[in-house]
Amino acid sequence: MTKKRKRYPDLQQKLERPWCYYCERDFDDLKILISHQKAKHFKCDRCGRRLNTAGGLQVHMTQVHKENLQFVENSVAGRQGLEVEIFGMEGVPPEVLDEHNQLVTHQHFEEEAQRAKITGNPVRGLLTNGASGSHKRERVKEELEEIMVHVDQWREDRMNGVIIAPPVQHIVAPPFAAGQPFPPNGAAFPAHFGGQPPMNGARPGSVPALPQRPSYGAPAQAPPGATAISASVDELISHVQGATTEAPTEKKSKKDKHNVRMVFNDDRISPEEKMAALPKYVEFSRS
Amino acid sequence: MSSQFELAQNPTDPISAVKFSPNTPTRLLVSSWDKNVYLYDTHAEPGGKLLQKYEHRAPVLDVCFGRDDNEAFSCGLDWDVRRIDLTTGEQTVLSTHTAGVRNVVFSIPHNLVVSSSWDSTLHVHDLSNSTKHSTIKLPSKAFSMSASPTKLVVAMASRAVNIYELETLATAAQKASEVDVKPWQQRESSMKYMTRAVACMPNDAGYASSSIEGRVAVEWFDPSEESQSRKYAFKCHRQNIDGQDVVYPVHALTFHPVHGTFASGGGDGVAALWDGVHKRRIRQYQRFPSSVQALAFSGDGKYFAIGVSPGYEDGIDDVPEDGAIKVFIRELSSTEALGKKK
Repeated sequence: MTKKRKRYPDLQQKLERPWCYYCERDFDDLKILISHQKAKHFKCDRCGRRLNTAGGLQVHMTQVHKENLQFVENSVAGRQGLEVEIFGMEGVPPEVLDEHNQLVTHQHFEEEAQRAKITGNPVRGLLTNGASGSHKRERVKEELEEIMVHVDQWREDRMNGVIIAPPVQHIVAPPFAAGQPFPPNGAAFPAHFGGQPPMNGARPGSVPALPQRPSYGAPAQAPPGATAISASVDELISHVQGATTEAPTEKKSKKDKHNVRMVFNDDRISPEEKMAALPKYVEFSRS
Repeated sequence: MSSQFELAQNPTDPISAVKFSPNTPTRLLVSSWDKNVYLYDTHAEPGGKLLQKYEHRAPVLDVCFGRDDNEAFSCGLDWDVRRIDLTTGEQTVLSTHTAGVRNVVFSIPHNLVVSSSWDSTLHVHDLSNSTKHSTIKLPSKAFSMSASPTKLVVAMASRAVNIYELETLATAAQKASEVDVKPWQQRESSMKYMTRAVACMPNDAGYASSSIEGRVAVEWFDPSEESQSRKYAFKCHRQNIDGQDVVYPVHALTFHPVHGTFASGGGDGVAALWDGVHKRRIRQYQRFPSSVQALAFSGDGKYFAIGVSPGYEDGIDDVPEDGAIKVFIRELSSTEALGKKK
């Protein structure tokens, strides 16, 4: 029986996955890796025979086809050599192995952080190891009178349009997830609570059960925490909406702009026309 | 691998086109910015034999074979479209454009030579009456052109694409004047950036086009909605360098005459074979020493010519002098360019 695959495997599971030295692809199973290598890297392009190793293919090529294999097909730069004898995960040089593990670890944490940002859940492991349990809310003990005082205070604030946010430790975490105790000072409240403060209609598709955002008039009086919270709420809403509509594409195009360099970019003049205008060639073209 | 070799005598300036003879799979024409057209027998001796060199007045931008192995047509920066007799070396000017001539194609079934130019015109020459030609206006400068058995696809600036029926062009050529020919279809490129190359499918079903932004689109001629919904585009010829995506232009496209698969060549020096029907990459060859500017399959589909030379790039004022300018010939094994089995 194979192990059940988790949707989000942990680091250990990722590091244990077999991967191909030649193309850095990883696989569920060592057997699949070996058949991948035979099909993609050790296959003879003359007769289609699948050999077990690059050395085997080289010998096959010289003996059968009188040809000289010089590099391993479909391999990434720097891994094309025939000197290393690879079979499955055997023979991978330790420094390459290290490099790969580092890459996997790095990607793992990046993915986790990314997911935490999207879902708003804390990063896995942060809650359980006790080291950073500080954001667990302390149990609030209040007498009925005190609660009444808070409620009055809140009513008055609401009349004046003031929203008081509690101090926020983790901006990425949702301020009040369902099931958490109601905030004592009644600063933010679920949207289904009666009598909402004015809303800036910018998001018609606002999602129920999300904390209400302060109106634009409020920030002047709001404590510094409010901007942080509104930012995180904005982010939350956009993420939730993004799940249905435009946010992901928007994000992608932004990413593209940052990280892309086009070798040639002109929409009117072709490379040949530019080349023809070079001093070297311009004397020959008629005008 | 010994199944791939480079020609021993190469042009001295960048290569603009490589073309195999449709009849003889070892006869190869190469046109170059060094103002010459080269004729090789690729397998007469190791490294190929340079049979002859045909000097022009200006850099040559395209060349193609004509009715037989001894006839060729060329065009270039001297604005002329020429017929070359490959045995005697005699050149005759068929017509003269009013700007550089980018491409020239010969259609065997219609006995027609068509040239496309930056002066936004096509010249069509009927070879049975080769002293005259007709001029057809295009909406924009022509950047690439390819002919299938019945159609001619012209890719232009402003992402315009015109598809003509060769039959109509043949009739237009009879008039020997400036004629107004309506394209059979007028399309806009399905890609966002400048079209770099087009190539028609040998089975007359459609064409592939490529852009300067590492992308290739595959489209079908059939205007029905069903066929049009099959069109697609994909990214290729990109490289991730230190977390930055470097996007190269796709300079060359060509279809395999037997299997119907196609090859693309890019500024990254990579040539790849694709199965357009099953949307798969068949293989990608080891990086060549400079950009892949021109590609061709031989008429029988056995050989694959790759013209490699440094091309124009943004931010570089001159074409690098020391870049490799070479023509590689690859002998394809029987299944090498074969797509996925049905």
